[in-house]
Amino acid sequence: MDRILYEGSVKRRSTYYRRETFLTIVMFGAYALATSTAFLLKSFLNGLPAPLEVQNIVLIIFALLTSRADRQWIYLLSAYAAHVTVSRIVGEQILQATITFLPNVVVSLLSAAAIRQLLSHPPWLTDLRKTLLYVIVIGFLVPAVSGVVSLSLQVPIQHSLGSLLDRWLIFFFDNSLTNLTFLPLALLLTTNNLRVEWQEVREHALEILALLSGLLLLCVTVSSVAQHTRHDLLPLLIYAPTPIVLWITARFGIKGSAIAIAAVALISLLQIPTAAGFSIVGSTVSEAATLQILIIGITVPFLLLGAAVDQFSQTKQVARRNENRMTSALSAANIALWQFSRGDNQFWCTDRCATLFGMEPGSPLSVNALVGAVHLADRDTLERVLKYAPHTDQEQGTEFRVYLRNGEIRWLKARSHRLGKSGPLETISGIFSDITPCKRVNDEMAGQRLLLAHGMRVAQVSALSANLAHELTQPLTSILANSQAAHTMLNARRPDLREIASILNDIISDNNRAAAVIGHVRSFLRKDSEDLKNIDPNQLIISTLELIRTGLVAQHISIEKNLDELIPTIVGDSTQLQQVLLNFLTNAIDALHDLPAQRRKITISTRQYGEKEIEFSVSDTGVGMTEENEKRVFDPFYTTKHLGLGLGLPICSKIIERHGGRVGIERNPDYGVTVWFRLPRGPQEA
Amino acid sequence: MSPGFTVFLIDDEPSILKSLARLLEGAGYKTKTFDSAHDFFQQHDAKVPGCAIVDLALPGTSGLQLQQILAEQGCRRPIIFLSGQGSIPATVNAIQAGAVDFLTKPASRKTLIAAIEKAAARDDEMRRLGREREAIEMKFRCLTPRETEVLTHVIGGWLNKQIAARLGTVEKTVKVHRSRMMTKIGARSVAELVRMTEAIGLKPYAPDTAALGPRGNSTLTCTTNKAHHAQEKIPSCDP
Repeated sequence: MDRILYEGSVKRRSTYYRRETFLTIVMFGAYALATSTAFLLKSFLNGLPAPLEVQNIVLIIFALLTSRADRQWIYLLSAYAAHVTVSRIVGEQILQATITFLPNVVVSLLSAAAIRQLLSHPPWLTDLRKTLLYVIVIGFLVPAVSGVVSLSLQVPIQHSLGSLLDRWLIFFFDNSLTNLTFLPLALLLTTNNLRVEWQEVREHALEILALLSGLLLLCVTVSSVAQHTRHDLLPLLIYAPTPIVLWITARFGIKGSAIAIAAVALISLLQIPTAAGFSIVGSTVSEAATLQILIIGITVPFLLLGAAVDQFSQTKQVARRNENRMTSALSAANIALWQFSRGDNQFWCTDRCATLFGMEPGSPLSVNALVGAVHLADRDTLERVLKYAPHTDQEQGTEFRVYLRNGEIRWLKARSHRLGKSGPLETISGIFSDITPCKRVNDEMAGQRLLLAHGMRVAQVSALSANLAHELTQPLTSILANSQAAHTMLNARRPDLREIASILNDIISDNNRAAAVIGHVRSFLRKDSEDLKNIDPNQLIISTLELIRTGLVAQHISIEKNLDELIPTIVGDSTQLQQVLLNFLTNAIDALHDLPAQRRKITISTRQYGEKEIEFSVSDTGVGMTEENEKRVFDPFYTTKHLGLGLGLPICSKIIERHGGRVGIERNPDYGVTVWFRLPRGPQEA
Repeated sequence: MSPGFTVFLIDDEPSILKSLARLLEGAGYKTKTFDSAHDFFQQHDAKVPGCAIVDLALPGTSGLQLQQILAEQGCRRPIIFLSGQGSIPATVNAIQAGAVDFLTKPASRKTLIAAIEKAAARDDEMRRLGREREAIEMKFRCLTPRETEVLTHVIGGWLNKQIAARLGTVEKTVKVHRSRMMTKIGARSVAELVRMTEAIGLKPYAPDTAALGPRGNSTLTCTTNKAHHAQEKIPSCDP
């Protein structure tokens, strides 16, 4: 293991060394090339100091690219070596070369540091603010400061202040020009994704070609004209390419302007020696400076303009991207947007509306058209939601049905709110969404709930089956005895027909009693949907007690009823409420199981609770429950019984909730437990 | 079936009481209906011959509890249970405690009457036995202490001279006592005498067992009919 790790790190280190070596060599080569170019330029310019410091560009770029490397000084050393080599080839002294190298290093490193600090990361010149900073700091400040620094290094060697000022000026303009005209191009070239750029170039190939050739042509014309023009018209000629540069900047942003500017600057600079009578001002030095100033003058605005154009198009791009995202999100969610402005009664909505409303795509989407596709009963509410909104910030919503062309019904939901928080209602905006699957799920859930409640009732009836059988046996016993008695009477000599008639009446009423029990059980077991009606709470309790009467007697449980005589009616499904009461009573009976017979007591009461509610409660004198149970007793699948499922109370809780009420359980101060539920009272009679 | 034989019906359901009463009266029985055990006890007269048809599931005092109370009271009225829910433990308990029968609802006329007849027979038998015992007891009460002593020795298988030796008299005296005793009691042979003494639970005198207590002790009194005894006057023995 150690061996592998060691080897791995060795490998990594060796790759690292290899990379470093490679970079060092590259640096050497690049710098050498740049310096050679500089010298070439110098010779081309007949001994005039180079208006351009190409090698600095190399240094700066390198410094930026390798800013994370450990040993940047290696690269500097290699650059120095290159510089010295080339100088030697040209014939300069090593000392001289070193003296000229140092200012380059200073200005390059300062520039690189400033770029890194102010522009943070590639691509460097993305917006106006950054470009402005660039222009001010790297374009002017850095050259100025480094000029001062490097000159101070040279003070002991050079002489007069005047010439020092000249030298500073030369240094300043040279580096300023370099930083403003050619460095942006270098920055953009090295940090952008060239493949993407090439793609763009291909798109606008024709245009770019035209522009570039136009520029070139113009520059050449200008240069040839410049030879024969008056001096004071020269600046105009230099600014002649401005329209083309402007066009390029406007179309291609800072990239275009960087290229155009570099081209213009290069060609202009090459004019210096050939410009006959170029002396606007006195010395050739100042003439070069003038040209530099002029070029800087054209560069700065176009750089800034390019940055501004880029920023603008980026904003547009961002906006377009956001819009695309929103559209795809809406389409994925199957939502359509709409807006209604009340001022001019104008309605707008996205194309998705057509699909949602089941209309032909492309058909006109006015309010009337949409409302026309809607189910008759829902039209009014929909129109109201579309055209009016409450004076609050709240959303309005309504569900409505539309008829699709194949006859299906689809449920949609319209939500709306007002735009603008205060003031008169101007615009209402909202969405349409398809809630058919949601509705279907809700319906299914409701169905499942009913099934579950039904299942519970079946279980309850099973548990009570012995009791119910007994309930039926009683009337059957009477019927049998009565029938046989009547039979005997008929065999007598003079049957008492009145007595027999009375017997038959008794048989009928017993039969009715049995039928009532069966009917009660049957309706208790019915599966179909809820049947809401007015219910008398006391009656409900009495009929529920009938179901368990036998069980109560068999277990010697005494029942105390505290029923409020004047209790108002409630609205609900009597089967479900009975199921709840039955569950409570069965639980109470179970709680009393281990008690001696004389202490078994259940109290049932109804009373009005506050103004609007009715309370039912079942109280037992049993063993009670722990505090923990009290909290968890309504949780699904929580049970303290051996064979219990733990679903009875949760289902009851759901039933009461759907009736708009609440359930609760609490321990009695003396013995046992009280379970209660409260329901809203029914509508009051007029 | 004794005259005045009554079927006592106890059930908490009025329609059942009514229909059963009709049925049984149509079959020729006298009936009395009560809707609770409490009601029944308030009006119960143990001397009236008859049986009880009791619902198991009564509010308050249950059917089984009623049976228990009757047993505690010393009343041997036969009980027929009629129940809508027959669980095996309940049935076993009931029968072990002396019920005549355990019927499930609905019970047909035939079943009911069969059970009632069985109960009637048992009731008759009980009463007859009771009467016999009483008669025997009465006779035995007429014996003098000496005669009683002789009696216990005789049924113990002692010879006259042994008895004389034991009691410290002569054989002749013993013979006299013996014949008087037999006359009073009216047994025709020693075997019959033994049967009679067994019927009332009188123990023979054996040398090592405890002697009979003085007259009027519990060995001579019927232990099961305290109430009866308390109410009735002991008839005199004078012929």
